[in-house]
Amino acid sequence: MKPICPIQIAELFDRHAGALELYASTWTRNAADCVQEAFIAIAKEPDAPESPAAWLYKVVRHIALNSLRSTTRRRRYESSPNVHPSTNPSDPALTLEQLDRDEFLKTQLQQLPQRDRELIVARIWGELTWQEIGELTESSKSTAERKYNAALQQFKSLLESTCTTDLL
Amino acid sequence: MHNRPPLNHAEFEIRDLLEPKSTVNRDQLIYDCGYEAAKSELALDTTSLPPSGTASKRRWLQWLPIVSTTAAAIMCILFLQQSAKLRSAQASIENLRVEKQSLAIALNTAFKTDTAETPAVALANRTNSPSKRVDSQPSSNSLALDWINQSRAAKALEVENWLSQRQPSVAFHSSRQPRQNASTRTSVSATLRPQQQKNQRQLWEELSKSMF
Repeated sequence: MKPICPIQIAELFDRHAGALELYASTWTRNAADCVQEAFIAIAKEPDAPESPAAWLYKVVRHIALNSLRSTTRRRRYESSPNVHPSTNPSDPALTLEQLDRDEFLKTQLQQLPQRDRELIVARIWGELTWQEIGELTESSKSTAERKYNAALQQFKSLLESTCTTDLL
Repeated sequence: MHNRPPLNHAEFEIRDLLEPKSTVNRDQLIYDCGYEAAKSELALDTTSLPPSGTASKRRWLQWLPIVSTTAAAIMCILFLQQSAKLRSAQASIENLRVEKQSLAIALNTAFKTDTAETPAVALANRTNSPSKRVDSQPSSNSLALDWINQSRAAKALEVENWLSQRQPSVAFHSSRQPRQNASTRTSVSATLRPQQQKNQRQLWEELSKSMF
């Protein structure tokens, strides 16, 4: 095995950095730092992982959870769901038109339980296999798939209930 | 490799609705990756000398085409400063001379780009403590200003002189600047335009050939 090639890192960044940041934001507000650390970690690996994307998701998850733990220790009040108040769709003063579509989707994702959010990001934007998602979430691949399908259904319902015609 | 199950229609629709963007500075990140890889590969720390093996150098060099010219120049400087230790360890003077030439080429290329920091300033800012940061205005740095204003040959000479004046002990001893949050981190340089990237790639291909 050889270390990962730099060009591959650049490609991985272009392909996955945004999704990884979204993934890390499931647990922490320091999502960019988690992604940064994960990429540096993969560069330092003496042997390139078999599936670099899955490896990055695993490391980002680990770093983000550590970040969450340390943040929780420091300031317990921050451990509550971190929906940004200005983008909370339940706020009657805000309409869909006021929200950027990306922000809207992110906000909707934040409404989901943490595990569901994680499954959706890993599958849809990370395009990980069920095997990889199972390993990531410490479950079997069939359990991961089943839970994902339920989460996706919930997410779709959430989106449809907010704006049936605009999005789906 | 596992087979990746294709996304279905509904999944595609969701994916198309949201294109997550990273706020991490790509150039900075790749520089950091290269730096870390180089550091571990070459054992670039304050106590040990880098291995002189060609394979190590080649691996280190392959990072350069994909980082900005300024970052590449900084990496060159770091590498050459480390090489100064090799000189003290009676390494080949000839090799050092070739490497200095490569640094001169890198610096020349870097100065052609529209960068906020000269390599010297950037290097100083990366290695100094925050309280000792160097003003990034070229006017405050006569050495950098000289480099910019002089001809390519003269610049190469300046660089060589500058390097020879540097104490090897200074070379890699100062620790890197404390890590900033990605969101507040500033770029080492502007993004390269395609033509610049092409030029840089060619430059490093030539450089690699000349070095090995």
